[in-house]
This record gives sequence, C-alpha cells and structure tokens, in this order.
Amino acid sequence: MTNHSHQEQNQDRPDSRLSFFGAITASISHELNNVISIIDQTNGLLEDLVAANESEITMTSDRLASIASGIQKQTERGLTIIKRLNRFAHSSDFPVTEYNPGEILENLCAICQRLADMKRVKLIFKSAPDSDRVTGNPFLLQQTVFEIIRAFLNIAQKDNEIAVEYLTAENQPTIIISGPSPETEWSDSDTAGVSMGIAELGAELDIAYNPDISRFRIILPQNPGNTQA
Amino acid sequence: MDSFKALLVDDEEDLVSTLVERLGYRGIEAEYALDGYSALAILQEKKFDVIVLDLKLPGMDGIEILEQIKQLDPHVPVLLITGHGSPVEENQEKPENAYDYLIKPINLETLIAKMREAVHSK
Repeated sequence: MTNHSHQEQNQDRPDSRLSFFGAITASISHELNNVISIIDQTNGLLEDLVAANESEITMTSDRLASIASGIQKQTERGLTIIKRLNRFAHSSDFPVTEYNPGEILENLCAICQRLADMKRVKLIFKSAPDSDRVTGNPFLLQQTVFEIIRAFLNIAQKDNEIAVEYLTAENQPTIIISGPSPETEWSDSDTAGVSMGIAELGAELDIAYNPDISRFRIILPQNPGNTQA
Repeated sequence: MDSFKALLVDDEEDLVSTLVERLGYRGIEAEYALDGYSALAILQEKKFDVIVLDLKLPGMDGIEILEQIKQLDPHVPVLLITGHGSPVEENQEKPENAYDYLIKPINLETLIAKMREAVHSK
C-alpha cells in the first residue's frame, strides 16, 4: 500500500467511526429521553391523583402500587440502556485486547434493537455458550458488524429478520450475519464500510447471495495482527 | 374550560396512556395510537380537533403519517413531537403541514396551551 492510499484511508476512518458512534448514541439518547418522559409524566400523574384525592377521586392502594411499578419498570429500563451504553463506550478503550465477540455482539444487537423496531424488523442474536475469546479490536468488530446490519436495515421490509450469530466453525471464530437480499447482488458501495473494517480486523469476508436471503460470513483471525495496533 | 378532542400518536404506550389520563383530568377528551397505521385507521372513523404526533415511529415515520393525515383531514392541526438535537429542532423549522412542534420531555401545561392554540387557529 502506498503512503498516498494510507493517507486516503486515514482520512476516511474518522468519518465512518463517527458515523457509527453517532448512529448508536442518537438511538440510545432517544430511548433514554423516552424513559425520562415516561417517569416525568408518571410523576405528574401521581401529583394529579394526590390533588384529586383531596376532592373527588379516590386513589386506591392498587392504583398507587401500579404507578410505583411503572416507575420501577422505567427505572430498570433506563439502567439497562445506560449499562449497555457504558459497555459499548468502554469497548473502545484498547485497540487490541482479549475479548469475547459473543458478549460484544450481543450488546451491539441489543443497542440496535430500537433501529430494527423502527423498521419493524426482527433482529436476533445467537451465540454458542462456550464460544471462543479472541484478541483484536472489539470496537472495530462492532463497527463492521453494524455496517452489515445497517446495510440489511436499509433494504429490509416489515417482518424481515436479521440474524447475527457467533460460533466456532472449523476451529475458527466465525460471525454469520444473515438478512434480506437486495434485488441484485451487493455492490461495492453497499459494503464499502464493511470491506474497510474487514481489512483492518485482518479478517476474511465471504458474502453468499441468493434472491431471498444473504449471508455475510466473517472469519476472525485466531491471533490477529491487527493493523490498527 | 373549552373542551376539544385530541389524538396522541406515540409508540411508547406508558407515555401516551398516562398523557391521555392526565388530559382527561383536565377536561380534554383524548385517545391514543401506537403507530401511524393505527392512527390512520382511527382517523378514518373519527374526527379530532388536534393531533399530537411523534416524529419517530415504527414502520411509517412521522412525516409520512403527517402527509396521510392531511389527505384525510386537511384542516386538522398537527403538533409534532421530537427529541433534543433532532433535525427539526436544529433547523428550528417545522415541516410543511405541521402546526408546530414540541420537544420531549413534554411539559403537560405547555402541551395543553399549544393544543388549545392550534384548535383555535382553525
């Protein structure tokens, strides 16, 4: 690779990473905003009922318990979102580290759930319980898998399914992402972000296309010489 | 207090159901729908004085729903709900056909004042 092409790639990197980070944090902040809105309105409802109780409406203990349960539910929802965001943010701490791709990708899929819900698409994650740990860049892996999920979401129709699976196949840590196919085979522009991530991960990518379903198979290096290191 | 009928469209059921109840305590008759398809189905059968519509909804997005609402009832005012930092807020520009927009989390009294203003603008 020439210095020139290195320069071009470096110029591309911040935009794609920021775009990934922006898409994730925008979705999470919207969901947190909803949680806060619900707690805020439930608190307002409680104030309404207290005020009304002094006049005509009787506030029963069941009603009070139901409201408290609603606040508890939203608090737990908010804490789960924050925990997932925190895990996502810390995945960028080290460019090379030992990690479990299954755990990282489960978290990514949970974060992407809202994006899938917006398109009424089912996003599922599967991982073998004893899946291999690898050494590499977990943030870059998430970005690469996210680019594939995003490519699927861009063409998905209501009730389509996108599945992300982490497994060990032929002794190699492997990620399979399947989803709906475009009308014609995937173009380079559809998968530009994916190819760049694959190269940086030192991974292999195989795309299987048929008119109904496409499968992206990523084979991670066992002991990668991550080019980002 | 002048009364009017409102339809609230938001996919967060705990939020809209609570808003509907609180509006009821203030003499405002309100119903809710959890997505654009349900909202349009309700609008085929009932008339409302004002519609409050979240821009981010599953399936059809808020702008698309807004256009279809206007085809069903060109005169009904529609208030859009959006989050902080959204393109609508950044541009400080409401989409065509919308009466105005509000930022989540919504203050109930602000919402009622804006709905009343919208109803009287017809």
